[in-house]
Amino acid sequence: MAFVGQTTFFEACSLQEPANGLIPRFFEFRAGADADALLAGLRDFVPHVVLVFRPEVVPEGLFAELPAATLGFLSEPLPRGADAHADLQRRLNELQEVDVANFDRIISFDPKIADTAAEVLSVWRSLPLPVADRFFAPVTPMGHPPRILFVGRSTQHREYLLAPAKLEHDVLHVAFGVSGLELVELLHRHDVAINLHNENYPSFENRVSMHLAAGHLVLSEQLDPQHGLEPGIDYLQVDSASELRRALGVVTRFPRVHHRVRVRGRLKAEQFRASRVYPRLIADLLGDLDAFGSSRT
Amino acid sequence: MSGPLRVAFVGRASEVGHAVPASPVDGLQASFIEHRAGFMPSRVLAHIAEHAPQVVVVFGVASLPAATVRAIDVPVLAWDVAPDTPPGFGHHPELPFSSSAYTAGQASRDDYARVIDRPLPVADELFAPPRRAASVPRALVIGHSSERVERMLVDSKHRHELLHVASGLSGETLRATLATGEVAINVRDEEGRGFGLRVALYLAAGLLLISERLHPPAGLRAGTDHLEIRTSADLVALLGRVRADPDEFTAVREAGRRAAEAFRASRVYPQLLAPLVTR
Repeated sequence: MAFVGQTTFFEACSLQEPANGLIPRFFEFRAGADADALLAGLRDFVPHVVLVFRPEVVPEGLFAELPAATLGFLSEPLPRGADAHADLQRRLNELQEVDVANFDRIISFDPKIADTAAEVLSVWRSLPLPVADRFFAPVTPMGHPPRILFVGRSTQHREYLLAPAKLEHDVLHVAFGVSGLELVELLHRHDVAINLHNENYPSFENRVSMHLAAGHLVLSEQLDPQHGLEPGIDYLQVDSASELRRALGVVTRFPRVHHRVRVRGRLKAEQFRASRVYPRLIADLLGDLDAFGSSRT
Repeated sequence: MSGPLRVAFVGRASEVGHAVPASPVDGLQASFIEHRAGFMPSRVLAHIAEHAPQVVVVFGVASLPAATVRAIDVPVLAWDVAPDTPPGFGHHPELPFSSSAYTAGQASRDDYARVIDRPLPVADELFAPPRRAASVPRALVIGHSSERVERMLVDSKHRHELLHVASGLSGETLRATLATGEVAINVRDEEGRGFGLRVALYLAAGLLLISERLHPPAGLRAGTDHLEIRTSADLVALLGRVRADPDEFTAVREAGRRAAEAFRASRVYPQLLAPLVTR
């Protein structure tokens, strides 16, 4: 099974070790990259299935002759109504670049964007981005003070929410460029993780499940969809700069106060484990293609 | 003079800690007290009482209340560094800087024996040999983000290996992060002129420095000890050249490392501070 995407963002969502009959390999590819080199690499690997994160970055017709089942995974939020944030509208415009003929089936990370995506392509399934197995770790004792981490690009919305927390606490903010084992090690050196939306619109970021898998106490803006997670039980919801600052203050003074939330969050993260999700997903995909065929072939 | 100069430094480690040696070095015995807006200034006074410095250096003119500065009975200098928050958040309702009651009580330039406006020195332990670029060199950016910073970096982030840490790096984590890169990028938070908190740090760490024009240049020469850019496209192109030929800028990297000696903490502080001290 070939996974295709920008390593920085998507290697963490892929399968990295053989599991239940799947032998994975990750192929770095991003918008504007050498598509011929990607195709050559895929032909050498001879995959049965190719999964592409952000299918809109694949050039028109690239997979037309590829003898493999192809699956596109929509990973970006999209407008859910008429009054869309400009950032969402931009992402929809990018999605409109997709060549639907490249893919047998499309998955979206968010069922609530399926209607909007349907203007461009047909969504087969919705499920959250999985978490690579190597991110999973046991819940360990909280550091004194707790080590706090935010991994995500900087936006006005995020910096506004983070500013008081950053002033009062030592928040390590990695804005770009950490992936692979370095990301795994980074996560394992921290206890508390923050999740904030790009801008002021609802979504479910895969960093939530990744941090839960790493055994972190997760502080997040409201998640929509929840994908089975419950605020106050699996993670703590913070909806303003002051709530975030205060929540970090409580954890810093009383590091064990939310231990049960960390444990529950870590348990719930098992539903995102890559070696659990992908074998079942691919079995369903191949069964579905066998039963109903594809417009690609 | 006899014995090393005892100096207490006051500031935020993740912003200015790289300017303070963690252990005694030639002629300098430094201690550091973490302080930022909202922290109790009495901790600073307690630290000073415990360490008995001959001089105190405060990073950021308005970092301490004026009354605290006046309560210190040795010379107190301010090092003029930018406020510790991303640009554009000066009026954030949750930040103390937006409170007139807070700002009214903070120190001003007149409260100090001297205000220093020059590039930050670099702690001796952070100096490292110049590193040759790897086949896929990694560029580092350490510092606040802003709309302008993102505009300058975004194309390079998509085309090259670039690590951007926006906050929270200090101590051993900072040193380990510097060791993962071969190139450093210095871009200004906002339009205008400036030097940058970490320019000398990048050079001392043996990184190839790519920077917007430095003002004042502080003895550095573009094209000789660092590379200068004006636009995002310049940055993309230069990182491409470094990647294509890792040896092309070896001489610049080595000259940058030599130039960093002018910022070595054990050299700068005694020269700068000793004249203020009566032993």
